[in-house]
Amino acid sequence: MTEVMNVVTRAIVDVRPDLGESRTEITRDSALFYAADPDQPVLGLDSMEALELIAALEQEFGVELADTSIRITDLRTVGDVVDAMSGAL
Amino acid sequence: MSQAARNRVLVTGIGVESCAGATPDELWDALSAGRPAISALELEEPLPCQVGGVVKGFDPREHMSAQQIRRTSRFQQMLFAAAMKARADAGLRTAPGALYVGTGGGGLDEAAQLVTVLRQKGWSRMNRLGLLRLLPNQAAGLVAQELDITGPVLTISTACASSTDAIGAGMRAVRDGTADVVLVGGVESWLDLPCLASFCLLDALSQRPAAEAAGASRPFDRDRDGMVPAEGAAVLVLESERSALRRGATVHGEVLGAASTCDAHHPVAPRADGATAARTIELACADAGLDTAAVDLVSAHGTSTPLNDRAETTAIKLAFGSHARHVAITAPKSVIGHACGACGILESVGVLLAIRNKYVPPTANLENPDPDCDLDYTPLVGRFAPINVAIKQNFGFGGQNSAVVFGAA
Repeated sequence: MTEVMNVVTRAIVDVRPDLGESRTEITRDSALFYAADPDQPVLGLDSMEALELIAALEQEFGVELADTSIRITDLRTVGDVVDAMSGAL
Repeated sequence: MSQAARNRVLVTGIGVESCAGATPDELWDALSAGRPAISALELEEPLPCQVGGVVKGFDPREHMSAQQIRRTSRFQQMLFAAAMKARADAGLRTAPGALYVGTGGGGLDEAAQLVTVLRQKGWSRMNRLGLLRLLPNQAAGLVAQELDITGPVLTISTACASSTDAIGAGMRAVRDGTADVVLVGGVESWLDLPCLASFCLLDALSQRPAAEAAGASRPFDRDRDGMVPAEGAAVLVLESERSALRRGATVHGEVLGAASTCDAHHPVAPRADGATAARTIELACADAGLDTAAVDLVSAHGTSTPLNDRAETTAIKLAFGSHARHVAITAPKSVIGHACGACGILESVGVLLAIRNKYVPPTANLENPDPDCDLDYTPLVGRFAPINVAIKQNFGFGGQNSAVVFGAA
């Protein structure tokens, strides 16, 4: 799982280089888009960036989320993405 | 707005991505010299058509971020580049009020790639962003997003008349006061196998071999054998006189009038009697407040197909009457091929520069005139002439006819 987390983190920074430049901490709890809880870390991706992230991860892991029951709209945190990829492997 | 209160519509910026060059001057060099920019096509499978107008050396990185490039396809990138060049040429610092873009097929080339993956690997392997790379309006949307254009952003698809119609739409927006500054443009990227093969099946493309690339597009010539496909994009900044004066903008020319009609006749063939095309010319001149006899230069559609060139000749005779024998005509597709939805705006750049330079560009390859095409198409050699008014006319599949009248700065 740690290895998957590392790959996901690297892919997020590839899609959003500014997160890497600002050394934003990326954790399993980081919200991809926004969070109602002001204490939850937020990456602030937009929907296009999220699609690019998933496409990059699908290529990296050789999986297709479309072949699973996982919906991209259900992925809200980095942890959700990690779990989705791990589950699809 | 009454006729008297109409705003004058000036051209204050030009951006180009063409097979003849990436600047208006490079394009003009080729057009004025009658030097065809047609070359061999590099196709994955052999087709009857072997030559085309390829935009070589285009590098989107000069204009776009890595993220923008990743998300977009070639037609979007070429329009974006042309738009940024036009804005820079105009020295615009504020957002244009509207954007009108003509394209025949949008991202048809991208659609072909998606279908290939779909058939070979299944739907889930298709590019997740593929849809956004093929929808025709996504090129204009990209430019609007970059330049913060929040007024009308319209994509017009009227085949080969698309960008000519876009100029007309933009002219009306400025003339009627909808916006002080608008962008008008056109783009086409159709040099992919499925598109070319489809046109080959209509027997619409030249089948001259690669070794004869420069001589393949020969409008009004007896030995013409079809269109030579080309890709490209161009964008013009249209601006009210008031705004241009306030900014101290350089003026490249004026858009005087425009008109559009439809043959309502046939999916691909023009009306042989040229009647509706002629009416388009007359309406455009009337919209400009001019008699057709005031036109000094006709930039012909001149596709190099047997039917079209003959019908266009008939239309010119109908519209111009006795003046048809005297007016200078040029066929730019002999140099830059047929850029489909982008041809009108690319050729309009040529018209603006012809007016500026007072020079009629030649029709290249017109060595043996077709007896049925018996007007002065300026064969092979250009000439200086007092050009103050010129018309750009384009006629597309579906009987789409469009014309724009330009005047000197």
